[in-house]
Amino acid sequence: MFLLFGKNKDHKQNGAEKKFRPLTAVLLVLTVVMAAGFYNSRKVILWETRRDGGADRIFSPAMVAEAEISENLKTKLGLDDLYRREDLAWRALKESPLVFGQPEASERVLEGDQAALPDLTENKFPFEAASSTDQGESASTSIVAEEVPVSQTTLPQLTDLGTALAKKSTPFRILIVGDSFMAIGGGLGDPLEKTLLSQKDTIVTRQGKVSSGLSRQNYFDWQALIKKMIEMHRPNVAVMMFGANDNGPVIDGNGKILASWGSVNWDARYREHIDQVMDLFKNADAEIFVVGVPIMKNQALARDIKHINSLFEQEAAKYPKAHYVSTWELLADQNGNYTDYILDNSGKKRLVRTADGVHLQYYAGYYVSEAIVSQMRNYLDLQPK
Amino acid sequence: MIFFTFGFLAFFAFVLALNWALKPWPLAWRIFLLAASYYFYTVWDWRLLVALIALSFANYWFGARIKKSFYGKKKFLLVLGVASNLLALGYFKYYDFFRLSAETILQKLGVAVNLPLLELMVTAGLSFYLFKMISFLADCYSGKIDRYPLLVDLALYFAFFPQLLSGPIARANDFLPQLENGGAKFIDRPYHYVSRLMAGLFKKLLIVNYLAVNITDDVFAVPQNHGSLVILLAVLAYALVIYFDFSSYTDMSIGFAGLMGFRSPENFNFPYGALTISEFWRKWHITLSDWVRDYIYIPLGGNRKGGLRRSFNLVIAMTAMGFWHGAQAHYIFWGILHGLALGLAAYSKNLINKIRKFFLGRFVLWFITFIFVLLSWIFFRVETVSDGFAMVKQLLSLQRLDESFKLYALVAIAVGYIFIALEQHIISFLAKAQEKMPLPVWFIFVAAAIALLFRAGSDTLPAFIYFNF
Repeated sequence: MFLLFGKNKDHKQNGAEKKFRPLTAVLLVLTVVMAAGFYNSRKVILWETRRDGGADRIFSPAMVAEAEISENLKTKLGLDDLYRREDLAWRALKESPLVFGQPEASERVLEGDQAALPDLTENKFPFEAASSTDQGESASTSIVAEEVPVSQTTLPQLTDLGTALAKKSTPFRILIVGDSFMAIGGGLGDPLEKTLLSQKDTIVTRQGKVSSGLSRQNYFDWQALIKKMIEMHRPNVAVMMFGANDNGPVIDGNGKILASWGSVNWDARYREHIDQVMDLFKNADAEIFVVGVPIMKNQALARDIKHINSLFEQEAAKYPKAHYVSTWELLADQNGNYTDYILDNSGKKRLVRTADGVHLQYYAGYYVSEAIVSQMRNYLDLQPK
Repeated sequence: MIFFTFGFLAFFAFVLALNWALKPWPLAWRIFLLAASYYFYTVWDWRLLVALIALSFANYWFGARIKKSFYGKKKFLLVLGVASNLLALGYFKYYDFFRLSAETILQKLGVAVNLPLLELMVTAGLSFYLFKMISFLADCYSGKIDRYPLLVDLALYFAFFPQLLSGPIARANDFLPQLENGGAKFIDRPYHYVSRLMAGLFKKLLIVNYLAVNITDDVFAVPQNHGSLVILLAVLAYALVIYFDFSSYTDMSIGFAGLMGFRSPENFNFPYGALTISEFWRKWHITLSDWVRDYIYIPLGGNRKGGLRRSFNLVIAMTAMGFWHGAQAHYIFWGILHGLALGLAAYSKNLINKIRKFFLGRFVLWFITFIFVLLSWIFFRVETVSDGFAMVKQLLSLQRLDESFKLYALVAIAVGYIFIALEQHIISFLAKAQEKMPLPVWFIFVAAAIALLFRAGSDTLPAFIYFNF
């Protein structure tokens, strides 16, 4: 024990660093743990409770407990407002175009379609710039073109803009939004984007956010982002996939818990969040494809996801232009149970899931993408290039 | 557990305190470190821990027998031991690749067979500790292990948690002596190790995440949407992403081990400043390169059997390196590319030595090496070899140069490369600056800096690329 609590000795030699007793290092690390945990208490709770793997049963809960105490302490000390402002400042910094770029980072303009997206920055009415590319386009798409008033000279409000823009038939301006399944590495987002880009007259914009969903607006405000993205990209087709991270409390943008998971009013509050997103797409007059989450390896999670999927399906049924696409059974075995492998066309078993039992291998990504696009063809005249 | 998570920090604080407190009782200290490492590993999957323990026992047995045996039996035991380790690697990491390949071949021969399936599991760390095991057996065979270690020491060498998931791949002769007599009594370079931890967190939480999310992932996901210039930017950014991702893990590994009183080997030494491809491999993932050199290249004959054989050996060694990264054609192709480049560089050694005498010559050598490394990263990152060729073709086509890109991307990439060039100086400066601080100021500085790094970093938890390998 003397090494830990013994007297410090200066072992500094020529050019070498000053050596110090190990107790200093122990105290330093403890200080770091306490300070980082206190300052980042919300991140601690998020990271240590919603991880795919690698979380332990002793130290992660200990840190969560410290974070919860920190949260209470901040409230007692009247620091909530200060932290809220600080949080807003960080968000503004992280979302600043100068720091992390603009959310349209994944904007796609295909060769030959450069003029398809009008310049919205100069207060032009969108169709003034887009009209030239409309000529000669195929009129065979199912989204019917209508007359557009051209007398406006200022940027219209979102609702008017979306309604007007969606009257364009082609190109299909497809907006894909979702959680980690749609982000890079989730296994579905980029295969779906590639599959849609292999169709004629498509412009695809994809935005995926790991660990996000519609239940925790304080963590990631999809409603706000989708609103912005509709303004920027004016989609006439939307593909959305949420739910895999949503089996928790429904929280509003201010961090207020609206309903705990499993409580009687959870469904109603969550439906409101679904409807907020659906309404945004509805106002933009977009054809909406709501993709359900596939079956999960963890049985408890699978049960939760099945329930959340059913809410999406029911809400989609309320909107005339919304269509629910189920992926549950696509990746289940013959008995409807979870499986890591499915049979390919040649009869060989192919690996479809990653080791976390949640995300998809790229083979599965293309497999599911084909199924989604196939269903989209029932409503859109998507033609392979 | 992942290094930069809060749960790991709490775990480390606990282990660090007991690590130093238990040193007066060396055996208890080593047993505690082994238990802590096993706990760290079992968090991923308890089956992995079972495999690690079983393989530790097996290698302890094989090593002891190899050391005691002579001639043919010694060689037989070595082959058997190495084969057992490779079998474990093949079973856990490559089983599905071999299953599909076998089924395809049998199908072509008219035999429809469905081989048994393996339940999926995370294999983090497996190939890293198997490398340690294979090198240990080879060192026993070649007489490099003087005193045969106790089981607990050998098991700790295989499982030591700061190095378990992604290296550095320490050698038994470097690690085992550090366990003698209770190990180090003081932390030899405390400010350096703390600086390495801060540098690792900075690289991982800020740089890697920013570049990957905002530049590389998007372009590599659907490259057909982008023109040559944007693809070039993405490739330049990916070279940064892979370097910062892996070197940040190494920084943290060295930092955590250092605070516990252990010295770890370095894994990187300014690799993008290499003048030749062979120099690049002496500076990139150094412990793996050394391992491949010592346990694949040299046993194949190395440079002892003529120029042509040497080049062939290099291609074989680098192909194995590519296959180690994954049983996909694009990794193997990446390995072959590097093998061929190394072979060519070996052939042109005299010419290269003449060129490098001149400043302009050194610049040309650096430029050629850097461009080659950049282009080869494309094949490392894509899903298929044909995707890689399509991307290279698009890059070289010089089309759609007018495609807009965000200026911040260019700035971020420039900052990344400047950081790499100055990295060692920055860490050294940081260490010296901390050394001058009074203790309370230093505590506040380190705690505030790390708390801020977490705050400024991504809201989501990113994973390390090399956990997949």
